[in-house]
Amino acid sequence: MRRLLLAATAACAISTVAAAAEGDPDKLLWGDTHLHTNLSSDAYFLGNKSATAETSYRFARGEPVIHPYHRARVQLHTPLDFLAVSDHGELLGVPYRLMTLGDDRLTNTRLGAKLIQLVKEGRSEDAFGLFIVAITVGGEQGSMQRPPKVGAATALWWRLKSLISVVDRQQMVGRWLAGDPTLLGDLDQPEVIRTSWESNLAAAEKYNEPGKFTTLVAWEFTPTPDGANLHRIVLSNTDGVTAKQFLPYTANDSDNPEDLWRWLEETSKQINADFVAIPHNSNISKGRMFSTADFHGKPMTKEIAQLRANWETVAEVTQIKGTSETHPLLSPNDEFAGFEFFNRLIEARPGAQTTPTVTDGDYIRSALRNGLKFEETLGVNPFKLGMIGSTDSHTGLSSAEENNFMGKMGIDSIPENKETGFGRVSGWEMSASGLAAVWARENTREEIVAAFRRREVYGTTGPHMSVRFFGGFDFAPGDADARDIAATGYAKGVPMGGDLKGSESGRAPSFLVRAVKDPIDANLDRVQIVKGWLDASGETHEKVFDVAWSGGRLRDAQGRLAPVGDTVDHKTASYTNTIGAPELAAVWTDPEFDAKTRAFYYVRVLQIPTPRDSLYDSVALQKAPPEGYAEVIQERAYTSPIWYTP
Amino acid sequence: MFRVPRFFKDPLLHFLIVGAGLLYLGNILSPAEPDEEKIVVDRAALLEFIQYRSKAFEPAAAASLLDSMDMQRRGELVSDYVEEEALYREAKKLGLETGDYVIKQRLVQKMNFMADASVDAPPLTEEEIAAFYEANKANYYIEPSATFTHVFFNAKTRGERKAENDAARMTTTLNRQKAPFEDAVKHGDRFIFDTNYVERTFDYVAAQFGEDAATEIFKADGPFNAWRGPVLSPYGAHVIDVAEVTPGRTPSLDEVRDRVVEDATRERKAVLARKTIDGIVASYGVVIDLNGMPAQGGAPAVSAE
Repeated sequence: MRRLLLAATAACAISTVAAAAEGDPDKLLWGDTHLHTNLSSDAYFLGNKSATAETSYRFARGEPVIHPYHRARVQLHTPLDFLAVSDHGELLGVPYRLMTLGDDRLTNTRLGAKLIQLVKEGRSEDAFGLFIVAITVGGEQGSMQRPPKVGAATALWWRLKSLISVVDRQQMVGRWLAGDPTLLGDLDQPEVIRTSWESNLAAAEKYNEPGKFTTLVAWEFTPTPDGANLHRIVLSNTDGVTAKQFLPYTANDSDNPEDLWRWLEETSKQINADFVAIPHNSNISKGRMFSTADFHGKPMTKEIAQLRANWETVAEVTQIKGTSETHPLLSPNDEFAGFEFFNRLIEARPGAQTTPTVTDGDYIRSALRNGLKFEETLGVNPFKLGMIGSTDSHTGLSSAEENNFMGKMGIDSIPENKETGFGRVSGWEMSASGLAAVWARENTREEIVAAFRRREVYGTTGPHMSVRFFGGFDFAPGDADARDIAATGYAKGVPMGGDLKGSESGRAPSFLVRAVKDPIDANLDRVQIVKGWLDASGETHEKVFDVAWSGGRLRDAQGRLAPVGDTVDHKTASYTNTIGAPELAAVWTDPEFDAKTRAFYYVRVLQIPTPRDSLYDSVALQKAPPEGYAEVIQERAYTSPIWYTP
Repeated sequence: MFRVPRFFKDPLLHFLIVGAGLLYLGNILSPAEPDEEKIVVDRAALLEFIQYRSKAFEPAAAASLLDSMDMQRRGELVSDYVEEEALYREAKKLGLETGDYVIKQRLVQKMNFMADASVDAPPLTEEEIAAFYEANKANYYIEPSATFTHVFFNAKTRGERKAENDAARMTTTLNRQKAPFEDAVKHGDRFIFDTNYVERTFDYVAAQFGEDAATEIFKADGPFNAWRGPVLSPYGAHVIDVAEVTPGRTPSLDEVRDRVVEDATRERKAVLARKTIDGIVASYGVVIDLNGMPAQGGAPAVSAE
């Protein structure tokens, strides 16, 4: 018998989630799950001293606010429906309380005094470097050989050397911190962090308006062992009062994500609430985010795979630091794979590798493929990942609009600063990207987190494109024209994030997809379905199919569709909607289906070409566009997959 | 009761007091007018020199460095210091700093920083907040919104003329049946956006239906809860049923307090800093001599291209 399973929630450890609203999810909610305020250490040091969680919520709701760096009034074109303020849990709010508020629990410590001195000397970036090293060293406790403690004699020698010659300050500071683990304790004070955590929770309570605007309790878990980004956003359906019962679990507790999942298992039972951990920037994880080994490099066990599957149902596919979908080296036959790379690791150690690796552990599409293998061998898929986008903005301002982008950090928020950016990173390397779209019944914390659990979510690079995606065995071609696509989709199939099981007599599944443009943005070029599968010999494969496209184009002999064209005027940074289509819908049946092979299918929607953020800047500056960056981009949406299991 | 005269609250006064204080401090800390022709290299001068050069301001470390230097190193340090000091004084004597635009800008920047820093104003009073709100009410205006549904006839599939005719017929039918709001989903074609719209602004509706249709939907005098059509959009013809149009309104101060406080604080800071700078400018006599210039501005002689 053919059976359709609704989105798998079996792995969820929580039994008591608030009663869900009735009916099919018919509300499309837009939000950002990844946003930093002045309580994040890096945000504070790099130009955001004043945008708090309250500023963030007001901006996301559509109100005008003051930009924390250039102080002009800023406003979103299209307001959001929900927001998770997700500051770095490590040393949460410490720089703000140390520098701006002069909290004497911090100013009276050795490390605190040093940071104040650096900032007073106008060396904010050095202070930030010291902080990063402090966090890195804190995260590596036990996993590296600890150097000898830096004594007074060594300290004096360094100081003398620094007076007469150039010295590597970060190396010195690193040795200083690494040699004395108690130094980090100067800043990593639970009571100080509690003060900051509670101020974020209070703001979340103040701005949460069920039905209108949802604030999610969240933080970022930020381990970067050996320069590998293993960061996770953790968000919850709990409220700001209950969340006072814990402090964010951070890289200073452990840099091993497996420990985070164990903590989530424990804490969710204690406070009777659900969590979701969302990995981001696998593209700069040195192959470790979706590694087929466990944290210590040993083969993945069923226990670890299950633990991961319990808590990581969704990954961030796009954000300001680029795309994590796939890479041309991994997907040589995908002509749209080369899109918005980020070419720099988060690395403060001198001499260390700074260029990201490109392996199957670095990108989501490869992880989805490897997940099929694990499901076959272990019986559990650790990489059963839905996809969303979010900004990772550090300005407190969730902006993903190319023509209204507020920068990654405060200091790279104005065109004149972008060339130099911060550290060695140009502001033009940043992508004005990342929104999360959620299909929900109501705009509430419970409903939104439940959608993340069943993966009925998708990501876009900024435009509010509406995308529906259903899979089933009964769709007819005419269903693409159905008056109510959702009613047809839910009646005959499963939505994005769901499972198809056991095809009857080898009949191929069909997919009902509909994409509609953002009403105030560009038309659509095409809708694609990306398929990945596991063959009988245990190898995985992938293929991209064009399933709907705007008028008048034919495919060539190789099946390749002609480009949609390009209306972008590079002199004025403008485009027209004279090409593309406002709406694309289709029913597509897999022509290469094999009922005995595991597979996944997800949708990618491409917009027509529009000006990139950097082109708007160069027109404003009246300079040539910066070299090395695209002048136009094709914004896109990526849906969560639908999986087929024999 | 003693009242502080307004004069004492003037930020310009604060600025001048700070300035005078700095000048006074400078006077008592520096020795009597130095002999411009004589460069004195003493321990204090060298310690300061070391610290500025390394940009590390730690006197104790600088002192131990100085003390640990051998005769040759110390000799080099002294001659570096003497050379820098001599060239600096000579440049000043030649008046080189006066024509230097970089130095001028640097000094102007320092003054601007001082002006900004001198107006770290105390929190606003209730009266000030209320006054700012009154004067800037227009900024907080809440847009009008409409709640409506519609039945859509697709011009692309039916053709423009037919879509319009079908919508006209549907209008009659729905009104004859006294069809309720919820019936919209039962008729017509799929619209690319939504069927029902609840409390949406004019811009939102215009982005999806075009300006003309939005204007019809937002008509203040209705008719409400009745079917109207055909209303034309870029996509085809619509039969609309508007339940409510909420007029635009100005929210009360309490509704928008956070924004008002933020805006008022920012404005006050800017005003105070401006006042300080204006005060300084006003303390100078200014002679404007524009003889030889045309009475009226004309096109520049050289185009920018």
